[in-house]
Amino acid sequence: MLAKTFSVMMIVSFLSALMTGNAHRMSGEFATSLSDGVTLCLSLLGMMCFWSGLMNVLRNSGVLEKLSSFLKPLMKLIYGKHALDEKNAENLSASFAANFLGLGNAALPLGINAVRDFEKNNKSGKARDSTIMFAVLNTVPFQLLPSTLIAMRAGYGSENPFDVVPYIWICSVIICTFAVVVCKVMARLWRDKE
Amino acid sequence: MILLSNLTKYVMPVILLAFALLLLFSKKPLFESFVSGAREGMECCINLLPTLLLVMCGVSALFSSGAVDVLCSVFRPLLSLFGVPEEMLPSIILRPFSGSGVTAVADRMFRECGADSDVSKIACLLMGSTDTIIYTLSLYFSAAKIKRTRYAVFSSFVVFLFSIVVCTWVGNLFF
Repeated sequence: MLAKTFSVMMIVSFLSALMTGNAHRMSGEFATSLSDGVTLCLSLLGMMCFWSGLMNVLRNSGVLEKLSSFLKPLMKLIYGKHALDEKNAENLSASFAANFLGLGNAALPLGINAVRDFEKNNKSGKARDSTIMFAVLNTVPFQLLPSTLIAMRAGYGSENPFDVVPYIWICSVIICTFAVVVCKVMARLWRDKE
Repeated sequence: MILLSNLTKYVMPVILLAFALLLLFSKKPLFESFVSGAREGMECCINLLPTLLLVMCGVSALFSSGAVDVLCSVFRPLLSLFGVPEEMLPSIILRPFSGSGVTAVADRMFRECGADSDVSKIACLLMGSTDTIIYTLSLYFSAAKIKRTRYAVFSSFVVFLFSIVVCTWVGNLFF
């Protein structure tokens, strides 16, 4: 995916450099962009280390499990009671809890287990509604603290890098609710072509 | 709302205090958990560098070649219809396809517009509440061996378009 994205970016840039006569700027900024990349990576390093450490503490101290059991009724509400067995509800809520804390590495295997469970007896290769719901909800993850964003804002001298956080929550609540509604409606409306 | 933004000043101090209390009162070896987690984060960040370099290079090319200006002038009427600031366009276009691409764009935006500008904050809302679509979908569907994803892609993009409008709206309302 990245290869394609990069190719498209480069082709578009080359063509517009031809059109606008900006080729000299392109070569000038090429080298700067690479050192900017290194600077960005270094400026994120501290926050990413600290945050992953902190979140690992939360995981090992049992906070993650508590959060996960708290989320279980919500999962049943979103996916419908009959779509979930106990183990599946556990997987799902654990995956959402891990995502919530920004533990992407922990969330991924849990999520994969959950969708494999959804599609266990499915030979048709057609996605079930619950799998789609899960995948779509994962494109709009609800995060407690987007640590990368905060680190970047702090790096550029923001007075209070955390001030966007409550508004991100507001947006996330609205967007996640909308995503659930869209999936429910589409599940009703969608007709498969045979 | 002033109350809310005053409260955000205490977010990190409270988190740090909770962390300290957890370290103090837990019987589990939590300091070791912190160290191993931080090491994981470090590796993750270092591993990000090669990808990030490629994307930074691509994003810089888009800006310096004038492609962004061309795109902006094409999409300006559509954006202004929904009140979306023009500076958001690169991050909106890249968001569904590349997470590090959006990071690269945001880095540029924070530098040029300032981290506390309204545009940067609205971009933060969008980045904080959405994720890459194509990668996420293909990840889970390939793990579950699903070939026909039915309405998944369509729904994700509908939700994404809705997210742009919501973030702009929330941003204009509060910032």
